[in-house]
Amino acid sequence: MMDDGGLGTPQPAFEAAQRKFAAVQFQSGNISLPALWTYYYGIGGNVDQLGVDAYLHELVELAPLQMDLIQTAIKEITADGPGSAHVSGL
Amino acid sequence: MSQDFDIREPQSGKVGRAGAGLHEFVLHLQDLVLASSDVREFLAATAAIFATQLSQPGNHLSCGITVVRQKRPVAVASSDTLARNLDELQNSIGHGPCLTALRTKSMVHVPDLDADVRWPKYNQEARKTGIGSILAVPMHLQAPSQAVVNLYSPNTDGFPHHGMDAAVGLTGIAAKALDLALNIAQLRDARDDLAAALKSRTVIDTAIGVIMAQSRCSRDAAFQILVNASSHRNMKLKEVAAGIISGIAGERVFPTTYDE
Repeated sequence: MMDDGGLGTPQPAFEAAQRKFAAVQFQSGNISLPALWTYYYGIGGNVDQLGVDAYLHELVELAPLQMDLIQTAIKEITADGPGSAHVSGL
Repeated sequence: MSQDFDIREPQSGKVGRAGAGLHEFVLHLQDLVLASSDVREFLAATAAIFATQLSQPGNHLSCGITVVRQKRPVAVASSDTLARNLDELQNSIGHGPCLTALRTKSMVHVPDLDADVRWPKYNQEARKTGIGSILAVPMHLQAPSQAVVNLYSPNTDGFPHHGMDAAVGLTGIAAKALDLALNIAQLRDARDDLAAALKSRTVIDTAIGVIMAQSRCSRDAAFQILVNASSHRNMKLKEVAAGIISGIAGERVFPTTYDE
């Protein structure tokens, strides 16, 4: 059995920085919350939309893996360019 | 909102004509909502109807419609190239009657471009395209969307009182149709995104199972391995997952049961 307790368990300071980074990217990336959540769910995320919203507003802590997945979702959506995960898809 | 407005200039002996025109306008809008494949197409057709309905002999109007959401323009459409050029001109300068109408949510009327002093830079450029007067009517949509209908006349004083009333009336009716079109587009996008998410999640879950069996680890640990691999190789999570599965099963296509 692998020691998964050690996996993706960063320092608290790093966690805060990671969230700040995610929140800033989310706001500047022209992504809507439903679009972000749907993408995050699609890559295996398990937290509901309200939980993701609360995390981005620095109200709750999430498991390290879920934070990594939110980060990954934002990164992949932004890499596809605006319009891929449409604000409104017009 | 005023309920009694005329589409055409009042003419004696033609009572009820405006009502019939309005009825047709509503039916036409409904057809457009149903038939348009996206919001842009709907807006272009609506702008064309506005121009036709509000033009008078000797006063041929051009119409542009701009939709913004959270202060970003999300769709623009126009009845002709003149309206498109004027809308673009205003957006590039960053001020003008239509943008002011959007910001203040109230109607802006420029009866004479030469005499107007509110937007000197825009007015000067707009005058070169041969227009004389402008009417910008804001459209009240469900938050967070906003829109404005821009009407351009080649004449000074191209918008007499009844013309303005007609424009306001049509805008009020078109706002509901546009709200519907925007809602449908948003729901369609959400549906498409969810369908894509279900497909992608199936691929990733399968790959997680493979990693769990190969590495004899928990689901979370397997996920972390996948996330790390994706970030190190600079590949999308889904692509790494698909690679893992095809490495074992040779499968390249993953049929899911979520197809309609």
